[in-house]
Amino acid sequence: MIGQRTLLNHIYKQILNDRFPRFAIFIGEQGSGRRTLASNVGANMKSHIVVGDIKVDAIREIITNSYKVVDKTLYIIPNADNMSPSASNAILKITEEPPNNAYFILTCESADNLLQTIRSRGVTYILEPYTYNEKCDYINEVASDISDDDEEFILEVASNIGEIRQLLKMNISEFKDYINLVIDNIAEVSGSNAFKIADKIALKDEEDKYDARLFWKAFSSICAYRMTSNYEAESCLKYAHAVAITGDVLQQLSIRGINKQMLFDKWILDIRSEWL
Amino acid sequence: MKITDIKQQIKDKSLQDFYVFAGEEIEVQRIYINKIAEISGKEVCRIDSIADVWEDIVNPSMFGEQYVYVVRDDKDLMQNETLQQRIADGVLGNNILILLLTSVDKRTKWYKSNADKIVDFERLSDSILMKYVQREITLNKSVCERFIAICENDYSRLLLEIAKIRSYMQVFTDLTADEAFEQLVADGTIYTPPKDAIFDLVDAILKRDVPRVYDMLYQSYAVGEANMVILSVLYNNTKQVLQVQACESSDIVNSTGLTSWQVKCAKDKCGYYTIGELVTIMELIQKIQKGIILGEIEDKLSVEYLLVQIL
Repeated sequence: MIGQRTLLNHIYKQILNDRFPRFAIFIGEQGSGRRTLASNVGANMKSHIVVGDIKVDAIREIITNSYKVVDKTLYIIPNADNMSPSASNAILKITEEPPNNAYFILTCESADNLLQTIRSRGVTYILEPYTYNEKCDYINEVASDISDDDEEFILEVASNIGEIRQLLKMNISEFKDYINLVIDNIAEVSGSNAFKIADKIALKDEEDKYDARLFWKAFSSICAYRMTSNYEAESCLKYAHAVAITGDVLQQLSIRGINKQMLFDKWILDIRSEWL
Repeated sequence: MKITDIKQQIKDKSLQDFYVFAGEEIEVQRIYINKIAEISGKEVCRIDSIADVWEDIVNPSMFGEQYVYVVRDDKDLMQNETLQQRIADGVLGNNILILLLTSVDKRTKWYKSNADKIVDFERLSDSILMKYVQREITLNKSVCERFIAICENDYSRLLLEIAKIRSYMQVFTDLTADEAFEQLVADGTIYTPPKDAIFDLVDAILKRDVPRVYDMLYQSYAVGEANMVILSVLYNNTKQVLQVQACESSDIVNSTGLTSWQVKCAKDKCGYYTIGELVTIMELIQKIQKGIILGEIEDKLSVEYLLVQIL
Protein backbone atom coordinates (compact mmCIF):
# COMPACT_ATOMS: atom_id res chain seq x y z
CA MET A 1 0.00 0.00 0.00
CA ILE A 2 1.45 3.32 -1.08
CA GLY A 3 0.98 6.19 1.33
CA GLN A 4 -1.74 6.32 4.00
CA ARG A 5 0.92 5.77 6.69
CA THR A 6 -0.82 7.64 9.50
CA LEU A 7 -4.20 6.13 8.72
CA LEU A 8 -2.78 2.62 8.46
CA ASN A 9 -0.93 2.95 11.75
CA HIS A 10 -4.13 4.06 13.44
CA ILE A 11 -6.09 1.17 11.92
CA TYR A 12 -3.38 -1.40 12.75
CA LYS A 13 -3.50 -0.30 16.40
CA GLN A 14 -7.26 -0.74 16.39
CA ILE A 15 -6.94 -4.22 14.90
CA LEU A 16 -4.27 -5.15 17.43
CA ASN A 17 -6.54 -4.09 20.27
CA ASP A 18 -9.52 -5.75 18.63
CA ARG A 19 -11.20 -2.38 18.35
CA PHE A 20 -11.67 -2.08 14.62
CA PRO A 21 -15.35 -1.20 14.09
CA ARG A 22 -17.82 -3.69 12.63
CA PHE A 23 -19.05 -1.07 10.21
CA ALA A 24 -16.59 1.37 8.65
CA ILE A 25 -16.76 3.87 5.83
CA PHE A 26 -13.65 4.67 3.80
CA ILE A 27 -13.88 8.01 2.03
CA GLY A 28 -11.56 9.10 -0.75
CA GLU A 29 -11.41 10.19 -4.37
CA GLN A 30 -11.58 7.66 -7.14
CA GLY A 31 -8.12 6.13 -7.50
CA SER A 32 -7.05 7.06 -3.96
CA GLY A 33 -6.74 3.43 -2.87
CA ARG A 34 -9.93 2.89 -0.86
CA ARG A 35 -10.35 -0.69 -1.94
CA THR A 36 -6.64 -1.44 -1.60
CA LEU A 37 -6.77 -0.06 1.94
CA ALA A 38 -9.85 -2.14 2.74
CA SER A 39 -8.15 -5.31 1.42
CA ASN A 40 -5.08 -4.39 3.48
CA VAL A 41 -7.25 -4.15 6.58
CA GLY A 42 -8.76 -7.55 5.81
CA ALA A 43 -5.32 -9.10 5.40
CA ASN A 44 -4.19 -7.61 8.70
CA MET A 45 -7.26 -8.91 10.48
CA LYS A 46 -6.52 -12.32 8.98
CA SER A 47 -10.09 -12.52 7.80
CA HIS A 48 -11.74 -13.87 4.67
CA ILE A 49 -12.42 -11.05 2.27
CA VAL A 50 -15.61 -10.86 0.22
CA VAL A 51 -15.98 -8.01 -2.26
CA GLY A 52 -19.66 -7.32 -2.81
CA ASP A 53 -21.79 -5.44 -5.30
CA ILE A 54 -24.03 -2.45 -4.65
CA LYS A 55 -27.16 -3.95 -6.23
CA VAL A 56 -29.96 -4.53 -3.73
CA ASP A 57 -30.13 -8.30 -4.36
CA ALA A 58 -26.38 -8.62 -3.82
CA ILE A 59 -26.59 -6.58 -0.60
CA ARG A 60 -29.41 -8.77 0.70
CA GLU A 61 -27.43 -11.89 -0.11
CA ILE A 62 -24.40 -10.51 1.73
CA ILE A 63 -26.52 -9.70 4.77
CA THR A 64 -28.06 -13.17 4.83
CA ASN A 65 -24.67 -14.86 4.49
CA SER A 66 -22.99 -12.62 7.08
CA TYR A 67 -25.22 -14.02 9.82
CA LYS A 68 -24.14 -17.54 8.96
CA VAL A 69 -20.36 -17.13 8.74
CA VAL A 70 -18.28 -18.90 11.34
CA ASP A 71 -14.88 -17.47 10.50
CA LYS A 72 -14.00 -13.79 10.62
CA THR A 73 -15.09 -12.28 7.31
CA LEU A 74 -14.65 -8.80 5.92
CA TYR A 75 -17.27 -7.65 3.42
CA ILE A 76 -16.12 -4.81 1.20
CA ILE A 77 -18.80 -2.87 -0.66
CA PRO A 78 -17.04 -0.58 -3.15
CA ASN A 79 -18.52 2.63 -4.61
CA ALA A 80 -21.30 2.66 -2.03
CA ASP A 81 -22.24 6.21 -3.11
CA ASN A 82 -23.89 4.67 -6.14
CA MET A 83 -26.19 2.44 -4.07
CA SER A 84 -29.87 2.78 -4.83
CA PRO A 85 -32.20 3.84 -1.98
CA SER A 86 -33.41 0.21 -1.65
CA ALA A 87 -29.86 -1.08 -1.34
CA SER A 88 -29.04 1.67 1.18
CA ASN A 89 -32.06 0.74 3.27
CA ALA A 90 -31.17 -2.95 3.07
CA ILE A 91 -27.71 -2.29 4.45
CA LEU A 92 -29.13 -0.44 7.44
CA LYS A 93 -30.00 -3.79 8.96
CA ILE A 94 -26.39 -4.80 9.59
CA THR A 95 -25.49 -1.38 10.90
CA GLU A 96 -28.06 -1.81 13.65
CA GLU A 97 -27.44 -5.48 14.45
CA PRO A 98 -23.94 -6.36 13.24
CA PRO A 99 -23.43 -10.12 12.88
CA ASN A 100 -20.87 -11.74 15.19
CA ASN A 101 -18.07 -12.66 12.84
CA ALA A 102 -18.60 -10.14 10.08
CA TYR A 103 -17.00 -6.77 9.41
CA PHE A 104 -18.19 -4.33 6.79
CA ILE A 105 -16.32 -1.64 4.92
CA LEU A 106 -18.14 0.69 2.55
CA THR A 107 -16.02 2.78 0.22
CA CYS A 108 -17.27 6.01 -1.28
CA GLU A 109 -16.11 9.24 -2.82
CA SER A 110 -18.24 11.52 -0.73
CA ALA A 111 -20.08 10.82 2.51
CA ASP A 112 -22.81 13.21 1.35
CA ASN A 113 -23.90 10.60 -1.17
CA LEU A 114 -24.68 8.08 1.58
CA LEU A 115 -27.87 8.03 3.62
CA GLN A 116 -27.54 10.09 6.78
CA THR A 117 -28.58 7.03 8.81
CA ILE A 118 -25.74 4.96 7.33
CA ARG A 119 -23.20 7.72 7.90
CA SER A 120 -24.20 8.12 11.51
CA ARG A 121 -23.82 4.41 12.25
CA GLY A 122 -20.42 3.87 10.63
CA VAL A 123 -16.95 4.93 11.70
CA THR A 124 -15.54 7.17 8.98
CA TYR A 125 -11.95 7.01 7.77
CA ILE A 126 -10.83 9.66 5.32
CA LEU A 127 -7.95 8.71 3.06
CA GLU A 128 -4.95 10.99 3.24
CA PRO A 129 -3.76 12.96 0.23
CA TYR A 130 -0.64 11.54 -1.42
CA THR A 131 2.52 13.52 -0.86
CA TYR A 132 4.70 14.72 -3.70
CA ASN A 133 7.39 12.21 -2.73
CA GLU A 134 4.98 9.30 -2.60
CA LYS A 135 3.72 10.09 -6.09
CA CYS A 136 7.29 10.55 -7.33
CA ASP A 137 8.38 7.22 -5.89
CA TYR A 138 5.45 5.47 -7.51
CA ILE A 139 6.14 6.98 -10.93
CA ASN A 140 9.83 6.05 -10.69
CA GLU A 141 8.87 2.53 -9.71
CA VAL A 142 6.43 1.86 -12.55
CA ALA A 143 7.62 4.22 -15.29
CA SER A 144 11.24 5.06 -14.78
CA ASP A 145 11.75 5.81 -18.50
CA ILE A 146 9.21 8.63 -18.58
CA SER A 147 10.48 12.06 -19.64
CA ASP A 148 10.99 14.78 -17.00
CA ASP A 149 8.36 16.99 -18.61
CA ASP A 150 5.78 14.26 -18.57
CA GLU A 151 6.66 13.32 -15.00
CA GLU A 152 6.29 16.93 -13.91
CA PHE A 153 2.94 17.16 -15.65
CA ILE A 154 1.68 13.99 -13.98
CA LEU A 155 2.84 15.15 -10.56
CA GLU A 156 0.99 18.44 -11.04
CA VAL A 157 -2.24 16.95 -12.28
CA ALA A 158 -2.69 13.61 -10.53
CA SER A 159 -3.62 13.69 -6.87
CA ASN A 160 -3.63 9.93 -6.31
CA ILE A 161 -2.19 6.66 -7.57
CA GLY A 162 -5.24 5.80 -9.67
CA GLU A 163 -4.96 9.04 -11.60
CA ILE A 164 -1.22 8.51 -12.11
CA ARG A 165 -2.01 5.10 -13.60
CA GLN A 166 -4.62 6.62 -15.92
CA LEU A 167 -2.23 9.31 -17.10
CA LEU A 168 0.59 6.81 -17.66
CA LYS A 169 -1.71 4.82 -19.96
CA MET A 170 -2.32 7.77 -22.27
CA ASN A 171 -0.14 9.70 -24.68
CA ILE A 172 0.67 12.62 -22.40
CA SER A 173 2.06 14.90 -25.13
CA GLU A 174 -1.14 14.52 -27.13
CA PHE A 175 -3.21 15.17 -24.00
CA LYS A 176 -1.25 18.34 -23.18
CA ASP A 177 -1.49 19.52 -26.79
CA TYR A 178 -5.23 19.02 -26.73
CA ILE A 179 -5.66 21.02 -23.55
CA ASN A 180 -3.48 23.83 -24.84
CA LEU A 181 -5.55 23.84 -28.03
CA VAL A 182 -8.72 24.14 -25.93
CA ILE A 183 -7.28 26.98 -23.86
CA ASP A 184 -6.14 28.87 -26.95
CA ASN A 185 -9.36 28.43 -28.89
CA ILE A 186 -12.30 28.06 -26.53
CA ALA A 187 -13.12 31.74 -26.71
CA GLU A 188 -11.91 32.22 -30.29
CA VAL A 189 -14.21 29.79 -32.08
CA SER A 190 -17.97 30.18 -32.43
CA GLY A 191 -20.20 29.01 -29.62
CA SER A 192 -21.52 26.08 -31.61
CA ASN A 193 -17.98 24.95 -32.41
CA ALA A 194 -16.92 25.23 -28.78
CA PHE A 195 -19.35 22.51 -27.75
CA LYS A 196 -17.35 20.07 -29.88
CA ILE A 197 -14.64 20.12 -27.19
CA ALA A 198 -16.78 17.52 -25.41
CA ASP A 199 -16.38 15.07 -28.31
CA LYS A 200 -13.02 13.92 -26.91
CA ILE A 201 -14.12 13.76 -23.29
CA ALA A 202 -15.55 10.61 -21.69
CA LEU A 203 -18.81 12.01 -20.35
CA LYS A 204 -20.48 8.61 -20.45
CA ASP A 205 -17.49 6.53 -19.31
CA GLU A 206 -16.26 5.82 -22.85
CA GLU A 207 -12.86 4.14 -22.78
CA ASP A 208 -11.30 5.75 -25.84
CA LYS A 209 -11.73 9.32 -24.62
CA TYR A 210 -10.09 11.50 -21.99
CA ASP A 211 -11.40 11.18 -18.44
CA ALA A 212 -13.42 14.30 -17.59
CA ARG A 213 -11.89 14.78 -14.14
CA LEU A 214 -8.34 14.50 -15.47
CA PHE A 215 -9.15 16.85 -18.32
CA TRP A 216 -10.40 19.53 -15.97
CA LYS A 217 -7.53 19.05 -13.54
CA ALA A 218 -5.03 19.33 -16.36
CA PHE A 219 -6.83 22.38 -17.75
CA SER A 220 -6.70 23.98 -14.33
CA SER A 221 -3.04 23.12 -13.92
CA ILE A 222 -2.03 24.54 -17.29
CA CYS A 223 -4.08 27.70 -16.70
CA ALA A 224 -2.39 28.11 -13.31
CA TYR A 225 1.01 27.72 -14.98
CA ARG A 226 0.13 30.32 -17.64
CA MET A 227 -1.11 32.64 -14.91
CA THR A 228 2.16 32.47 -13.02
CA SER A 229 4.32 32.84 -16.11
CA ASN A 230 2.36 35.76 -17.54
CA TYR A 231 2.98 39.35 -16.41
CA GLU A 232 -0.11 40.98 -17.91
CA ALA A 233 -2.73 41.59 -15.24
CA GLU A 234 -5.62 41.01 -17.62
CA SER A 235 -4.29 37.64 -18.71
CA CYS A 236 -3.56 36.65 -15.12
CA LEU A 237 -7.10 37.45 -14.15
CA LYS A 238 -8.49 35.52 -17.11
CA TYR A 239 -6.60 32.36 -16.14
CA ALA A 240 -7.46 32.83 -12.45
CA HIS A 241 -11.16 32.92 -13.29
CA ALA A 242 -10.79 29.81 -15.42
CA VAL A 243 -9.16 27.99 -12.52
CA ALA A 244 -11.99 29.07 -10.20
CA ILE A 245 -14.69 27.98 -12.66
CA THR A 246 -12.99 24.63 -13.22
CA GLY A 247 -12.55 24.11 -9.47
CA ASP A 248 -16.27 24.58 -8.96
CA VAL A 249 -17.05 22.04 -11.68
CA LEU A 250 -14.61 19.52 -10.19
CA GLN A 251 -16.41 19.77 -6.86
CA GLN A 252 -19.75 19.07 -8.52
CA LEU A 253 -18.38 15.93 -10.18
CA SER A 254 -18.58 14.05 -6.91
CA ILE A 255 -22.34 14.65 -6.60
CA ARG A 256 -24.06 11.36 -7.25
CA GLY A 257 -26.18 11.39 -10.41
CA ILE A 258 -24.89 14.70 -11.72
CA ASN A 259 -25.30 15.03 -15.48
CA LYS A 260 -21.73 15.31 -16.79
CA GLN A 261 -22.80 16.51 -20.24
CA MET A 262 -24.72 19.44 -18.76
CA LEU A 263 -21.84 20.19 -16.41
CA PHE A 264 -19.38 20.25 -19.30
CA ASP A 265 -21.60 22.49 -21.41
CA LYS A 266 -22.00 24.89 -18.50
CA TRP A 267 -18.26 24.92 -18.02
CA ILE A 268 -17.73 25.84 -21.68
CA LEU A 269 -20.32 28.62 -21.47
CA ASP A 270 -18.86 30.00 -18.23
CA ILE A 271 -15.29 30.01 -19.55
CA ARG A 272 -16.38 31.70 -22.78
CA SER A 273 -18.43 34.20 -20.83
CA GLU A 274 -15.33 35.16 -18.79
CA TRP A 275 -12.92 35.20 -21.70
CA LEU A 276 -14.98 36.94 -24.38
CA MET B 1 -37.91 -21.08 -25.22
CA LYS B 2 -39.64 -19.60 -28.23
CA ILE B 3 -43.37 -19.49 -28.85
CA THR B 4 -42.86 -21.90 -31.76
CA ASP B 5 -41.37 -24.45 -29.32
CA ILE B 6 -44.38 -24.33 -27.04
CA LYS B 7 -46.66 -24.53 -30.06
CA GLN B 8 -44.85 -27.68 -31.10
CA GLN B 9 -45.18 -29.13 -27.60
CA ILE B 10 -48.91 -28.47 -27.69
CA LYS B 11 -49.14 -30.03 -31.12
CA ASP B 12 -47.15 -33.09 -30.03
CA LYS B 13 -49.01 -33.20 -26.69
CA SER B 14 -45.67 -33.40 -24.87
CA LEU B 15 -46.05 -30.65 -22.33
CA GLN B 16 -43.59 -29.69 -19.59
CA ASP B 17 -44.72 -29.52 -15.99
CA PHE B 18 -43.44 -25.96 -15.45
CA TYR B 19 -43.60 -22.87 -17.68
CA VAL B 20 -42.82 -19.23 -17.22
CA PHE B 21 -44.77 -16.77 -19.35
CA ALA B 22 -43.29 -13.31 -19.56
CA GLY B 23 -44.12 -10.30 -21.71
CA GLU B 24 -46.94 -7.88 -22.26
CA GLU B 25 -49.25 -9.91 -24.47
CA ILE B 26 -51.63 -11.11 -21.78
CA GLU B 27 -54.41 -12.19 -24.12
CA VAL B 28 -52.12 -14.49 -26.07
CA GLN B 29 -50.83 -15.93 -22.78
CA ARG B 30 -54.43 -16.63 -21.80
CA ILE B 31 -54.98 -18.43 -25.10
CA TYR B 32 -51.94 -20.64 -24.53
CA ILE B 33 -52.92 -21.36 -20.92
CA ASN B 34 -56.35 -22.51 -22.08
CA LYS B 35 -54.78 -24.59 -24.85
CA ILE B 36 -52.43 -26.27 -22.37
CA ALA B 37 -55.36 -27.00 -20.08
CA GLU B 38 -57.36 -28.40 -22.98
CA ILE B 39 -54.55 -30.65 -24.23
CA SER B 40 -53.69 -31.93 -20.75
CA GLY B 41 -57.31 -32.45 -19.80
CA LYS B 42 -57.01 -30.37 -16.68
CA GLU B 43 -58.79 -27.29 -15.37
CA VAL B 44 -57.07 -23.98 -14.92
CA CYS B 45 -56.69 -22.95 -11.31
CA ARG B 46 -55.48 -19.39 -10.71
CA ILE B 47 -53.71 -18.97 -7.39
CA ASP B 48 -52.07 -16.08 -5.51
CA SER B 49 -49.06 -18.05 -4.42
CA ILE B 50 -47.63 -21.53 -4.83
CA ALA B 51 -47.65 -21.80 -1.04
CA ASP B 52 -51.47 -21.93 -1.13
CA VAL B 53 -51.48 -25.24 -2.97
CA TRP B 54 -48.06 -26.64 -2.07
CA GLU B 55 -49.49 -29.14 0.37
CA ASP B 56 -51.89 -30.49 -2.27
CA ILE B 57 -49.05 -30.78 -4.78
CA VAL B 58 -46.59 -32.48 -2.46
CA ASN B 59 -49.14 -34.81 -0.84
CA PRO B 60 -51.73 -35.48 -3.51
CA SER B 61 -54.75 -37.40 -2.36
CA MET B 62 -55.89 -40.58 -4.07
CA PHE B 63 -58.93 -38.98 -5.65
CA GLY B 64 -57.62 -35.47 -5.84
CA GLU B 65 -57.64 -33.60 -9.13
CA GLN B 66 -54.69 -32.26 -11.03
CA TYR B 67 -54.71 -28.73 -12.32
CA VAL B 68 -52.94 -26.25 -14.48
CA TYR B 69 -51.92 -23.86 -11.71
CA VAL B 70 -51.42 -20.28 -12.83
CA VAL B 71 -49.69 -17.81 -10.52
CA ARG B 72 -48.45 -14.27 -11.18
CA ASP B 73 -45.18 -12.78 -9.88
CA ASP B 74 -44.68 -15.32 -7.09
CA LYS B 75 -41.39 -14.05 -5.56
CA ASP B 76 -41.05 -17.14 -3.39
CA LEU B 77 -41.03 -19.30 -6.50
CA MET B 78 -38.38 -17.13 -8.13
CA GLN B 79 -36.06 -16.81 -5.12
CA ASN B 80 -36.45 -20.06 -3.22
CA GLU B 81 -33.79 -22.36 -4.70
CA THR B 82 -35.00 -25.36 -2.69
CA LEU B 83 -38.47 -24.96 -4.17
CA GLN B 84 -37.05 -24.60 -7.66
CA GLN B 85 -34.96 -27.73 -7.20
CA ARG B 86 -37.99 -29.69 -6.05
CA ILE B 87 -39.94 -28.57 -9.09
CA ALA B 88 -37.00 -29.58 -11.31
CA ASP B 89 -37.03 -32.97 -9.56
CA GLY B 90 -40.65 -33.49 -10.56
CA VAL B 91 -42.58 -32.71 -7.38
CA LEU B 92 -45.44 -31.32 -9.47
CA GLY B 93 -46.37 -34.79 -10.62
CA ASN B 94 -49.22 -34.56 -13.12
CA ASN B 95 -49.95 -30.95 -12.31
CA ILE B 96 -48.72 -28.18 -14.53
CA LEU B 97 -47.49 -24.90 -13.07
CA ILE B 98 -47.41 -21.70 -15.10
CA LEU B 99 -45.70 -18.68 -13.59
CA LEU B 100 -46.72 -15.36 -15.16
CA LEU B 101 -44.20 -12.54 -14.89
CA THR B 102 -45.13 -8.90 -15.30
CA SER B 103 -41.48 -7.99 -15.86
CA VAL B 104 -38.34 -10.06 -16.03
CA ASP B 105 -34.69 -9.12 -15.78
CA LYS B 106 -32.87 -11.15 -18.40
CA ARG B 107 -29.53 -10.53 -16.69
CA THR B 108 -30.34 -12.51 -13.55
CA LYS B 109 -28.95 -15.92 -12.73
CA TRP B 110 -32.53 -17.18 -12.35
CA TYR B 111 -33.47 -16.17 -15.88
CA LYS B 112 -30.38 -17.78 -17.37
CA SER B 113 -30.89 -21.04 -15.53
CA ASN B 114 -34.56 -21.24 -16.51
CA ALA B 115 -34.25 -20.09 -20.11
CA ASP B 116 -35.67 -23.39 -21.39
CA LYS B 117 -38.91 -22.80 -19.50
CA ILE B 118 -39.41 -19.09 -20.15
CA VAL B 119 -41.60 -18.00 -23.06
CA ASP B 120 -41.53 -14.31 -23.93
CA PHE B 121 -44.90 -13.14 -25.21
CA GLU B 122 -43.92 -9.89 -26.87
CA ARG B 123 -46.34 -7.72 -28.73
CA LEU B 124 -47.47 -9.40 -31.92
CA SER B 125 -46.31 -8.00 -35.20
CA ASP B 126 -48.54 -5.84 -37.40
CA SER B 127 -48.97 -8.56 -40.02
CA ILE B 128 -50.11 -11.20 -37.53
CA LEU B 129 -52.46 -8.77 -35.81
CA MET B 130 -53.94 -7.76 -39.18
CA LYS B 131 -54.92 -11.39 -39.73
CA TYR B 132 -56.41 -11.74 -36.25
CA VAL B 133 -58.32 -8.44 -36.51
CA GLN B 134 -59.68 -9.25 -39.95
CA ARG B 135 -60.93 -12.57 -38.58
CA GLU B 136 -63.01 -10.66 -36.04
CA ILE B 137 -64.13 -7.67 -38.10
CA THR B 138 -63.83 -6.55 -41.71
CA LEU B 139 -61.80 -3.37 -41.92
CA ASN B 140 -60.06 -1.66 -44.80
CA LYS B 141 -56.30 -2.36 -44.77
CA SER B 142 -55.20 1.22 -43.97
CA VAL B 143 -57.91 1.55 -41.32
CA CYS B 144 -56.81 -1.75 -39.83
CA GLU B 145 -53.19 -0.56 -39.69
CA ARG B 146 -54.27 2.62 -37.94
CA PHE B 147 -56.44 0.61 -35.55
CA ILE B 148 -53.48 -1.60 -34.60
CA ALA B 149 -51.26 1.46 -34.08
CA ILE B 150 -53.86 3.18 -31.89
CA CYS B 151 -54.12 0.04 -29.75
CA GLU B 152 -50.30 -0.08 -29.57
CA ASN B 153 -50.20 -3.66 -30.87
CA ASP B 154 -51.99 -4.82 -27.71
CA TYR B 155 -54.11 -7.83 -28.75
CA SER B 156 -56.29 -7.67 -25.59
CA ARG B 157 -57.06 -4.04 -26.28
CA LEU B 158 -57.84 -4.76 -29.92
CA LEU B 159 -60.42 -7.34 -28.90
CA LEU B 160 -62.05 -4.89 -26.48
CA GLU B 161 -62.18 -2.12 -29.07
CA ILE B 162 -63.59 -4.55 -31.65
CA ALA B 163 -66.37 -5.34 -29.18
CA LYS B 164 -67.11 -1.59 -28.99
CA ILE B 165 -67.24 -1.31 -32.79
CA ARG B 166 -69.59 -4.30 -33.02
CA SER B 167 -71.91 -2.87 -30.33
CA TYR B 168 -71.94 0.48 -32.12
CA MET B 169 -72.78 -1.18 -35.43
CA GLN B 170 -75.66 -3.03 -33.80
CA VAL B 171 -77.19 0.32 -32.87
CA PHE B 172 -76.28 2.19 -36.08
CA THR B 173 -76.94 -0.56 -38.56
CA ASP B 174 -76.27 1.53 -41.66
CA LEU B 175 -72.62 2.04 -40.78
CA THR B 176 -69.77 -0.06 -42.12
CA ALA B 177 -67.07 -1.21 -39.73
CA ASP B 178 -64.69 1.45 -41.12
CA GLU B 179 -67.22 4.23 -40.58
CA ALA B 180 -68.04 3.00 -37.10
CA PHE B 181 -64.31 2.95 -36.27
CA GLU B 182 -63.79 6.53 -37.50
CA GLN B 183 -66.73 7.82 -35.50
CA LEU B 184 -65.62 6.08 -32.33
CA VAL B 185 -62.08 7.45 -32.67
CA ALA B 186 -63.37 10.96 -33.34
CA ASP B 187 -65.53 11.06 -30.21
CA GLY B 188 -62.85 9.41 -28.06
CA THR B 189 -64.72 6.16 -27.38
CA ILE B 190 -61.74 4.38 -28.86
CA TYR B 191 -58.97 5.96 -26.83
CA THR B 192 -56.05 7.33 -28.80
CA PRO B 193 -53.00 7.66 -26.53
CA PRO B 194 -51.00 10.88 -26.94
CA LYS B 195 -47.87 9.97 -28.85
CA ASP B 196 -44.58 11.70 -28.44
CA ALA B 197 -46.13 14.30 -26.20
CA ILE B 198 -42.71 15.06 -24.81
CA PHE B 199 -41.35 16.12 -28.21
CA ASP B 200 -44.45 18.19 -28.92
CA LEU B 201 -43.96 19.77 -25.49
CA VAL B 202 -40.34 20.63 -26.18
CA ASP B 203 -41.26 22.07 -29.59
CA ALA B 204 -43.96 24.18 -28.00
CA ILE B 205 -41.55 25.51 -25.35
CA LEU B 206 -38.89 26.38 -27.90
CA LYS B 207 -41.49 28.09 -30.08
CA ARG B 208 -42.89 29.94 -27.07
CA ASP B 209 -46.40 28.59 -27.79
CA VAL B 210 -47.62 29.02 -24.20
CA PRO B 211 -51.14 27.50 -24.45
CA ARG B 212 -49.80 24.44 -26.25
CA VAL B 213 -46.96 24.12 -23.72
CA TYR B 214 -49.31 23.52 -20.82
CA ASP B 215 -51.58 21.28 -22.88
CA MET B 216 -48.62 19.10 -23.90
CA LEU B 217 -47.19 19.21 -20.39
CA TYR B 218 -50.33 17.70 -18.90
CA GLN B 219 -50.46 15.13 -21.70
CA SER B 220 -46.86 14.18 -20.94
CA TYR B 221 -47.70 13.74 -17.28
CA ALA B 222 -50.75 11.69 -18.26
CA VAL B 223 -48.55 9.16 -20.06
CA GLY B 224 -46.17 9.07 -17.11
CA GLU B 225 -43.22 11.05 -18.43
CA ALA B 226 -40.77 11.84 -15.65
CA ASN B 227 -39.73 15.45 -15.07
CA MET B 228 -36.05 14.57 -15.34
CA VAL B 229 -36.66 13.07 -18.78
CA ILE B 230 -38.59 16.19 -19.89
CA LEU B 231 -35.76 18.40 -18.66
CA SER B 232 -33.16 16.23 -20.35
CA VAL B 233 -34.93 16.25 -23.74
CA LEU B 234 -35.55 20.00 -23.46
CA TYR B 235 -31.90 20.58 -22.62
CA ASN B 236 -30.63 18.62 -25.63
CA ASN B 237 -33.03 20.36 -27.99
CA THR B 238 -32.21 23.81 -26.59
CA LYS B 239 -28.52 23.13 -27.04
CA GLN B 240 -29.09 22.10 -30.66
CA VAL B 241 -31.12 25.26 -31.35
CA LEU B 242 -28.37 27.35 -29.74
CA GLN B 243 -25.69 25.68 -31.83
CA VAL B 244 -27.61 26.23 -35.06
CA GLN B 245 -28.77 29.76 -34.23
CA ALA B 246 -25.26 30.84 -33.16
CA CYS B 247 -23.50 29.19 -36.08
CA GLU B 248 -21.82 31.71 -38.35
CA SER B 249 -20.62 29.19 -40.89
CA SER B 250 -22.71 28.19 -43.91
CA ASP B 251 -21.69 24.57 -43.30
CA ILE B 252 -23.74 24.10 -40.13
CA VAL B 253 -23.45 20.32 -40.06
CA ASN B 254 -19.64 20.26 -40.00
CA SER B 255 -19.38 23.29 -37.77
CA THR B 256 -21.72 21.95 -35.07
CA GLY B 257 -21.20 18.20 -35.41
CA LEU B 258 -24.98 17.71 -35.60
CA THR B 259 -26.65 15.53 -38.21
CA SER B 260 -28.52 17.22 -41.06
CA TRP B 261 -31.82 16.01 -39.57
CA GLN B 262 -30.98 17.58 -36.21
CA VAL B 263 -30.01 20.82 -37.99
CA LYS B 264 -33.30 20.84 -39.91
CA CYS B 265 -35.35 20.28 -36.71
CA ALA B 266 -33.37 22.94 -34.86
CA LYS B 267 -33.76 25.51 -37.66
CA ASP B 268 -37.52 25.12 -37.34
CA LYS B 269 -37.26 26.34 -33.74
CA CYS B 270 -34.71 29.11 -34.24
CA GLY B 271 -35.51 32.75 -33.62
CA TYR B 272 -38.01 32.49 -30.79
CA TYR B 273 -35.36 33.10 -28.14
CA THR B 274 -32.18 35.16 -28.29
CA ILE B 275 -28.86 33.40 -27.91
CA GLY B 276 -28.57 34.79 -24.39
CA GLU B 277 -31.99 33.41 -23.50
CA LEU B 278 -31.10 29.98 -24.87
CA VAL B 279 -27.92 29.96 -22.75
CA THR B 280 -30.03 30.97 -19.73
CA ILE B 281 -32.42 28.05 -20.38
CA MET B 282 -29.52 25.60 -20.48
CA GLU B 283 -28.03 27.02 -17.29
CA LEU B 284 -31.41 26.91 -15.54
CA ILE B 285 -32.00 23.30 -16.50
CA GLN B 286 -28.56 22.35 -15.23
CA LYS B 287 -29.23 24.20 -11.98
CA ILE B 288 -32.63 22.53 -11.60
CA GLN B 289 -31.21 19.08 -12.31
CA LYS B 290 -28.55 19.60 -9.67
CA GLY B 291 -31.17 20.99 -7.28
CA ILE B 292 -33.35 17.90 -7.69
CA ILE B 293 -30.41 15.59 -6.97
CA LEU B 294 -29.45 17.57 -3.87
CA GLY B 295 -33.05 17.78 -2.69
CA GLU B 296 -33.16 21.57 -3.00
CA ILE B 297 -35.86 21.55 -5.69
CA GLU B 298 -38.89 19.30 -5.65
CA ASP B 299 -38.95 17.02 -8.65
CA LYS B 300 -42.68 17.37 -9.28
CA LEU B 301 -42.46 21.18 -9.46
CA SER B 302 -39.25 21.33 -11.46
CA VAL B 303 -40.62 21.66 -14.99
CA GLU B 304 -43.24 24.24 -14.06
CA TYR B 305 -40.60 26.14 -12.08
CA LEU B 306 -38.53 26.29 -15.26
CA LEU B 307 -41.42 27.26 -17.52
CA VAL B 308 -42.41 30.17 -15.32
CA GLN B 309 -38.94 31.63 -15.74
CA ILE B 310 -38.45 31.14 -19.45
CA LEU B 311 -41.84 31.60 -21.16
